Amino acid sequence: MTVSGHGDEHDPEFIVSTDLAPVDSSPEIDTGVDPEDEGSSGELSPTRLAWKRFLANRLAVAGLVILSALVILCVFLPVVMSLEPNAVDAAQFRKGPSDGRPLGSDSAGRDVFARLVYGGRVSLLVGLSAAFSATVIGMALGAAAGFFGGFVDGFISRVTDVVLSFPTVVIIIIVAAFAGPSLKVLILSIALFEWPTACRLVRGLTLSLREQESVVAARGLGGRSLHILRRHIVPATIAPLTVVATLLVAQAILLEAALSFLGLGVPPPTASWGNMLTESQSLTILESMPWLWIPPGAAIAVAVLAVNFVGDGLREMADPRQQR
Amino acid sequence: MIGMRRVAVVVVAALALAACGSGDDDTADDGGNTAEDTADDTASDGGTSDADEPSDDDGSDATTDDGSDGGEPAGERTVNIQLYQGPSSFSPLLAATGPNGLMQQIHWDALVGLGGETDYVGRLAESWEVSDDATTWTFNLRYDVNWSDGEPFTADDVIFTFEAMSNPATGSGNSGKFSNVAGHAEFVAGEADNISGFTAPDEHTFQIELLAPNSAYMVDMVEPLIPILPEHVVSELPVEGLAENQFFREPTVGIGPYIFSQWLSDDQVEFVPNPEYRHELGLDKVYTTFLATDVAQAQLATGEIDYTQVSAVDLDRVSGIDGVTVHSVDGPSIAALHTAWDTKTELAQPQVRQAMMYAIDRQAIVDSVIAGEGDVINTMAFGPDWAVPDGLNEYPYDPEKAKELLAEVGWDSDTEVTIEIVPGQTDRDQVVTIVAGQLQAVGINAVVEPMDGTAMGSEIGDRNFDLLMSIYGLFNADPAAMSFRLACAQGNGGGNLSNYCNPELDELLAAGVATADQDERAAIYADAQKIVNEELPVILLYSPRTISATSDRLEGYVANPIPTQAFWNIAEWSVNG
Amino acid sequence: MLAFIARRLIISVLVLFGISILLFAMLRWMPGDPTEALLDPLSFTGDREAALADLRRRLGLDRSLVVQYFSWLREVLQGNLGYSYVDGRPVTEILGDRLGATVRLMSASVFIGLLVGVPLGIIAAIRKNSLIDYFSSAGSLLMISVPSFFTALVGIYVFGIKLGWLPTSGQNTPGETGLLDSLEHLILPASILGLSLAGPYMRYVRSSLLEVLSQDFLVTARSKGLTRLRVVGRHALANALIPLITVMAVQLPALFGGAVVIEQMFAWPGMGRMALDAVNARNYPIILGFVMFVSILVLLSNLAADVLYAIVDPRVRTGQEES
Repeated sequence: MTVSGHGDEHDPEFIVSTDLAPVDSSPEIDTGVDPEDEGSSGELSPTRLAWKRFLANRLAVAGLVILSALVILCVFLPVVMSLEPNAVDAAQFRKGPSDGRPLGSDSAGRDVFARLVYGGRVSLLVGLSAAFSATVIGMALGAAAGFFGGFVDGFISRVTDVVLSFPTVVIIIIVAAFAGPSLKVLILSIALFEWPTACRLVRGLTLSLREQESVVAARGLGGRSLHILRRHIVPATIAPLTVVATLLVAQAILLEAALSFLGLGVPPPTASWGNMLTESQSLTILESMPWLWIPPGAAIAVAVLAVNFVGDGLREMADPRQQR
Repeated sequence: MIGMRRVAVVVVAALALAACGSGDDDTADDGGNTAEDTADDTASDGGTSDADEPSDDDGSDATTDDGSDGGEPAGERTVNIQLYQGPSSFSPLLAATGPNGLMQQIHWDALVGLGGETDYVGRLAESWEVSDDATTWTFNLRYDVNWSDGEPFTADDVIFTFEAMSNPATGSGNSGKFSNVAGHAEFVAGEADNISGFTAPDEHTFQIELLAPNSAYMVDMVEPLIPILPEHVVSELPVEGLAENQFFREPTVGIGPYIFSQWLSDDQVEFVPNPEYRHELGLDKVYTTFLATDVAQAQLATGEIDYTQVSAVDLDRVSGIDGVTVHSVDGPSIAALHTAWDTKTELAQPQVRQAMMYAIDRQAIVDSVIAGEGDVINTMAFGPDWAVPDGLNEYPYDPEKAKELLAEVGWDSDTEVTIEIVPGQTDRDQVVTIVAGQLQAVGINAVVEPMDGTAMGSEIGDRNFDLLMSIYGLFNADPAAMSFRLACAQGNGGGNLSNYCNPELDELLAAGVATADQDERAAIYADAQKIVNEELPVILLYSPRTISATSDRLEGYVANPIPTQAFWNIAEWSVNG
Repeated sequence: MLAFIARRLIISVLVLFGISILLFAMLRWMPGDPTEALLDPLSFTGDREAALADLRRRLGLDRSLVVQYFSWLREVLQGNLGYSYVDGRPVTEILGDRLGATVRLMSASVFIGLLVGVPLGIIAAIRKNSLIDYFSSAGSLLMISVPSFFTALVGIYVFGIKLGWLPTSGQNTPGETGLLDSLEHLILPASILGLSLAGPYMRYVRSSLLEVLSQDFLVTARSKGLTRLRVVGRHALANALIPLITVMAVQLPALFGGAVVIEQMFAWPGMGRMALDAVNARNYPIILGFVMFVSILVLLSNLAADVLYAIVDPRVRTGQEES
């Protein structure tokens, strides 16, 4: 697509890409960044300097704190207290908050709080694993394209174009509807259609790194391609990739929520933040049962916001020119 | 870019408008009573007047292009009604869908239909009788009916329609509908040009000759409604693929009280009065709009919509809206779980099925999830009263008993039992969740498996379903309705999707329609019902009530027990104020 | 320049072929048979197996995948996208019926997105590191982070139900054809979709303007005594905003995705809702037609953005040679 050639000069900012909040889906990190350079700017080690920059960004720190708190709550709370997210009780039908159930019960008489906690596990799991898979796919293809160039690059770039021209949400809906909604399908389909971002980034980085002395030298010495890739190119892409991956997490959480909301994501009775909201299209619930829709909705918003704050911080950390 | 600029201006104007407070479009006027009985006495002189509407031929984008001010005058007698799914066609030959059926009963009409009391009512037929041997059915057609183009309606139209419906070449989804009619098989095989069992002794009499006696044939005739087509128009169209002919997208001739005028958008249709209708009509325009039920309920409150279905869970809220009347009537359908009897033999054991009935707290489900708007049922044909014998097992909620029954057959609690469902209806989805939880509580490892309609179709074809949740049917008008779902002959692709087959029950079901004597029939069906109650070919849950809501400005609405026949008396509708 | 456009066009056509083949294969390899959806097993009367076989034959689904693809392609090249499985209507006609509603929603959304995002971005860049910058940056992240269906729920609740200001569904009141009525229906869905666009627009404008402001010629301009405001207005803004075209083009597919959800929630009779229905019914011709339509639109808008860009910035053309 378009930006591949010139984005480096004109996309100074990496824009978060979420399909629900339709956003630039081909973010470009300034590929001119050379992590090696950073060390020379002060006495501090590059890592320390980067961390200092991160910590100076208050929103990023807040995001990190919130995110850690959410993860800890979702992971460890069920260990500490007994939560029954799937225990149905017809007598508890849509009962409001009470002592035993701080967030009331849903339409099957299940504990909303317990479902919120377990739903968080699922939503965060989907976010993390889908983003991770997409990043890995993107990294592999991007590195191959950038390193080998020629036909390989042409082919991979065209495939990237194809995927980027798809209305992702619609395609994932097609896959989810046809293959039947399941956690596996959801994670895979998000990964399969969200990798181009990472691919573009790694391709650009690899292209510029390929010309660098160390790599040129290694090639001159007859180093094997795979070795060069692993030794020289992969490490250099890790930092900017982390930023991309973080923002993909935000996007994957949003996608999970939207698909589950449409009934095509995480299948019931497994709770996820998205499918807890499915019911809230009912006006009765919207109007008189806020405990059923505000908690999961707020949870999604807070989690994604936190991830985005962290992503912002990480970007500034990786790219000092973006300092505010 | 040019288009964008136009919209831009528009949005600014709109935002300004919103800021000035547009809360004054409150059209819901509080017009007193609900008027269930204002039949057709509404004075209406403009029933056939051609109100000059903006004739926008392409119809697709009518609303943006004419920048005219405001809509129609407030006094116009229009009614806006909800369709709960998107309609697509006026073709009665396509497999029936709810929204298409609803549109068709406005534009077309059928011989007979179902009335507000789950009774048979004449529509294009004035009366009907069955011969003593229950093989010949005679329908006496009305004399005062014309098509909207002035041509008279005759028995030939009926024969033409029924043959087109039976002809597979038309792409009909109902080609098996008349398989019990003499000459149907020959016609389908291409050996005969006509179906010999359909005859017209005179212009206004239509006769059906059946192969096997059926004293309950009316059940087949009233649901789904069978709209009659105008032979003089439709016979001009090619037979091949007739069901999808574009005539049925924008039909030019109709016979119902209101006839198709235009598609305002892909989701919205405008109807105008049929100038040839046999009595004066109370409305100048009827609009059908595809709206999710939740959304439609909100619009009912703002007066944007005059009729909508209501789901039981929202009953409280909707009854609380000013200027809205809620109608709740006994429904004809049953909520049941189906098992593939031919492949899932372990689930077909009577003890397992009875255990499930004891394990599910059906009364609690009715009381909570559907807010009491339904009745627990213990047999399939739960009405009319003469057809339901005393002494049926009521399967009260008793988890201990369920566990005992399961222990008897040595049920393995690790065996996964899936409950298949097409999600989308809140109450049904919740029922399934609770059922799964309650089955788990007695040691049946039940897992809910949501899927779309296509996947469910494949599951049925592949005989691969444990418990398939469905709410369907017209089961309280005549017990003969059970045959379509339980007779051996209906297995393997017919209405008996469970492939349940019990020769003893089969014999009773056949005997039940071979006589027209009610006492005799009652005795036969008492035996049949007991078998169903004990063997449980389907796990019986409840029968939901049919709930709808109308704005108080709409008069003459009488709720129909079947949601797909909600507009059955639209000819009597009018508006006040 | 012409050679550049020609090259991009050829690549676009190749990409389109790729999309169609990929999509075609994907649709057919996935489980789920459209004929199953057409003949509802619960209500169908008669010999269903025979009817299914007959239907497959009539829809051409009994032929091999390759044959199906080429017969589809032949029709498409003649401007015929096929016929809906459900009611036999031409797909082009259905798309046409739906296009108006979607275009109306999307263009209003983009407009609102620009209306909110661009000024905020400019202010944030000019007042860099001020409180305004801080808040609008956080606000833009918020707009990106809150799922639009949740915003829609809140919007429906507050403006539709509690305040009763705005209608919550459809693009007009049935029977009403007035402009005012259409506008009222447009405000809520377009604002919600528009706000989700405003976030990225704001961030883009801010950083793009910041970069331009730091460039040499502007520093020169300022040293010549031009006021800050004039610098921004005259020189910087133009340079900073032109790349926004690219962002808008690149976002197009995502915008269609967002429209699917919004159209569903607001009962908007547009293409997104149609696509969702078509997916559920396995209505292949409509799914294919819709995705192809969106892809063509995306490729064309990318091409347009590229051309504009190449006119503005000749470096791009040489840059292309490398990839």
